[in-house]
Amino acid sequence: MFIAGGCWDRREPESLVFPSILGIDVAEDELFEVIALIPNPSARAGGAAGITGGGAFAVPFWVNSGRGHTPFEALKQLALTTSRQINLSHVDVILISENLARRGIGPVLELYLRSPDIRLIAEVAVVEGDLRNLLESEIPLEPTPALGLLAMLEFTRQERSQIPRGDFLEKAKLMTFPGIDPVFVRFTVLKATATETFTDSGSAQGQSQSQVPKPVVKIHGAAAFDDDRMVGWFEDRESVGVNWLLGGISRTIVSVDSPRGGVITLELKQSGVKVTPVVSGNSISMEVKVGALARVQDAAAHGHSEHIVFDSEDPELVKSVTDRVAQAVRNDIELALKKARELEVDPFGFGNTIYRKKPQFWNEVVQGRWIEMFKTVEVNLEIEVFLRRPGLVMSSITPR
Amino acid sequence: MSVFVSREISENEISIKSAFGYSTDLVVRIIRSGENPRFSVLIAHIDGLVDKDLVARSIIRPIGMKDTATIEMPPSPAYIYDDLRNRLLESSEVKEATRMADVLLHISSGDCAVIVEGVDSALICSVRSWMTRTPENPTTEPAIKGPKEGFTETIRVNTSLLRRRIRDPRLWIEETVVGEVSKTDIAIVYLKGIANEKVLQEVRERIGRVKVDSLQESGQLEELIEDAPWSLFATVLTTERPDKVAGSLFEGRVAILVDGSPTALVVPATFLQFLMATEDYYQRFTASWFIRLVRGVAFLVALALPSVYVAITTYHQEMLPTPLVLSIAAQREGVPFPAAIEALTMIFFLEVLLEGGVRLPTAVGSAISIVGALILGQAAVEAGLFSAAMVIIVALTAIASFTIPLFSLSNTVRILRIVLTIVSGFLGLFGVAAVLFGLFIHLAAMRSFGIPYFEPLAPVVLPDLKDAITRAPWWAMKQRPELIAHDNVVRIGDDQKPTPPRSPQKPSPAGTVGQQRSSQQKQQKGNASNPDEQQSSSDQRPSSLGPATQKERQPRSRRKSRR
Repeated sequence: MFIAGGCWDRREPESLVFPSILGIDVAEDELFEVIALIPNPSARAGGAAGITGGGAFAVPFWVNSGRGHTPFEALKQLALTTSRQINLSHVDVILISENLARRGIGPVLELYLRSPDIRLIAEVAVVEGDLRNLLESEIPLEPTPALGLLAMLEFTRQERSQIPRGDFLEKAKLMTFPGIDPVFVRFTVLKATATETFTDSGSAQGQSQSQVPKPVVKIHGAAAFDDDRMVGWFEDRESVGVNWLLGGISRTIVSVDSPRGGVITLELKQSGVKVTPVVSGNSISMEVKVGALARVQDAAAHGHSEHIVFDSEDPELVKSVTDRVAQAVRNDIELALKKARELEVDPFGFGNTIYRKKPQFWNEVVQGRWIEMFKTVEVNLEIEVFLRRPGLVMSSITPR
Repeated sequence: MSVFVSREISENEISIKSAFGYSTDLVVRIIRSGENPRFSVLIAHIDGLVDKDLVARSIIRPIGMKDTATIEMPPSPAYIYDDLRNRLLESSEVKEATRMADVLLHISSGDCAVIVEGVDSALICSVRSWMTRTPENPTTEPAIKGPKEGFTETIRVNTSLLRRRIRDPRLWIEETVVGEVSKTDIAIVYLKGIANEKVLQEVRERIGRVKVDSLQESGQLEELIEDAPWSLFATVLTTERPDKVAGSLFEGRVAILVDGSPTALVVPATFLQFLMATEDYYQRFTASWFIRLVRGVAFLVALALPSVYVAITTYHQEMLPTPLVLSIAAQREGVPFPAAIEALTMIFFLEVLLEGGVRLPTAVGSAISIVGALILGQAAVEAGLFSAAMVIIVALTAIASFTIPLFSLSNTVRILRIVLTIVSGFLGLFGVAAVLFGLFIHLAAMRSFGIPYFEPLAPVVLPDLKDAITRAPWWAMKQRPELIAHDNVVRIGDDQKPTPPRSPQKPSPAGTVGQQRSSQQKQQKGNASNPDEQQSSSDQRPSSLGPATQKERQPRSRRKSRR
């Protein structure tokens, strides 16, 4: 009695649901649609489900949605059809449909920043394709799609550096900085498997035997934003180029032709970038220095080559390969620059660099017309690649 | 009954017998001996408290052999009395008593009273001997490394155990009697010159104030002399280990032994002492350092884990990793009670199990763990009464509370755990923090015989921090606890950190300071691995240092236990 009187706001975990993904879309009737992916706790721990006798109903997660004039209202509408109290504290990923992103994600930002529940470390991504389909499909290996998407975000970032860094809070901060535009992660729902949903889970065993699950979603470059509106996509290579200039490359791969025939794949890591604005009169140019360490990972000769494809003890060969790698990096960066100029956004933060390093010039000349200038600003790229490690062997083996 | 010993032997016999109500274990015997004149001697003792062989050999036989005929002049009773006292009685300790009450007290203490007819005084011979336990491994404070002897129920054995550890006349023992009826012997033991006189005076006063009819155990005395009688925390340290008491004496503390109790009281006590095991001082300090940290964490776990679990799962789910919150939610699915009720019920079950285990005879005791742990724990989860996570939490709490070395503190923790869990059930982590906050205020405000209870943490006493939450190596703990032994704090000599011997070819630079001193140092360093030799080397030290400086410089307690 004593305790029951005191704990009117007591919330036991089994009376709550913890959505792990919030998908936010605009419906046909111009209302916001919030789609929540709610993991089913009893389906997670097989043993526990058996104990409580709820083993028969073992759908690992449930997708529910609601509509409203604001995302928050939509969430509350969602609650009308949910049996338990919705607790947003475990939202790991916020997915935004392309449709909504192109209209502007301001309302989502408001929800995210105002809610005391949602963690500020939540990840955000823009989804190309049907958001609902993505949420309703299973991601192989992972118990819930949220964990799958989160793991993909984390590891793809490390493995390939193809997507931009930073959680939602960081993006929101970038929006308030002058001279820089945020880029968001882009997920693409793969069409081939998008229809294979989990809805027919009648016999879980039969399903797992008959079907080998296929990948449902791909991490696929970045979404370029101007303020809170999405203006276009950066494809894979372009997104790597953006990352080069943001210093966001942790590991990426480059394949180049070897002068001796065949293809060499190198992994680039420990990159660094330095951007220096150079002012001359009323014009400005950007000096960009990019450096990276390369490591030979693989070499493929076409056919049965009698040549050594790569030999680290041949300085000429090393120099030639290094130059080619540098050129490949330059190509990526130039692709990104070209696309950014087309989209009229500056994800590299060149403007922000000027704002910080040449405040006077920014105030007098640049302010208000940076994007105009960005389209024509001269960017001098200097790329240094050091080939330090040939892998565990010095050269390819020579058949005799 | 007369107040004094009567000259009439039959009157004395009646007095003694009626005082004991003609109890069957009282032995009163009147011996008539000698010739011309014959004299009568009354012998009284309690059967079972005396060594009967000794009574026969050293009291009755000498009296019987007393031949008054060989003496020329007829001896007066006073002459016989003196002769018995000074020459004939073969007891190592002979006292005199004139008051009948004293005689009765001695008889019931196990002495033998000898009363000569015609003399209004009794001779008291010490022939005490009764069934007693030999010092055994202390059951409540076992140690893997360290002495395996514990106090017994006999105060004399206990003081002898202390004397064996401290061979110095400065080990002073003051004895008093407490208990109007039980007349229990109390010994206040301390090291003269190290123990704080003010604390000592306070101990004497508090024991002097005690007015009870009986004292069966030191626990009773503890409740009568402690500083904070309403507090959940004990302010008097209790131990069964003579080495621990001896170590405490070297820190300047005062020990109180109670006859009939194998548990010694040590004052002043500080909170952290209750988290220290004797073994911490015998293990190498690296191990002790780690084990004390583990114990500290286990203490917090034992105190707060159920309440923190309840608070987080009912109010602060956002603090848990997502997979964990889902798994807890899954386990709680179908559990009928809120987490707080669940926790309290589990804790209650645990307490019942613990108490049952203590009360049951050992033969049945193991059954309770099987019934409790296996059947109840497993079945309760399977029946859906409790969640598996809660069983884990409470079991972990129970195990953690077993790491607390002293029973008095683990009892405190058992109670506080319940308080914390109740509060966390309706106030969440805020409630837990509030209670812990209050607890710390309480701890910091308490004193034990004038010493701050939370010392050296509050107030911070920097040198004492070497032996607080963790322990510094012995060679670095140069001082006794500053607040407790503040007159005489240096306990370890300089340069005690052992080093490999320098190569003999090179002359030691220390040789210039003083030949004698440096040679001693070398000897000590060489023998650092052998405490006995080292002890003897310091014993051979020339006594020219003088008693005053010797006290300062002689590292008396170097290799001895502190507790």
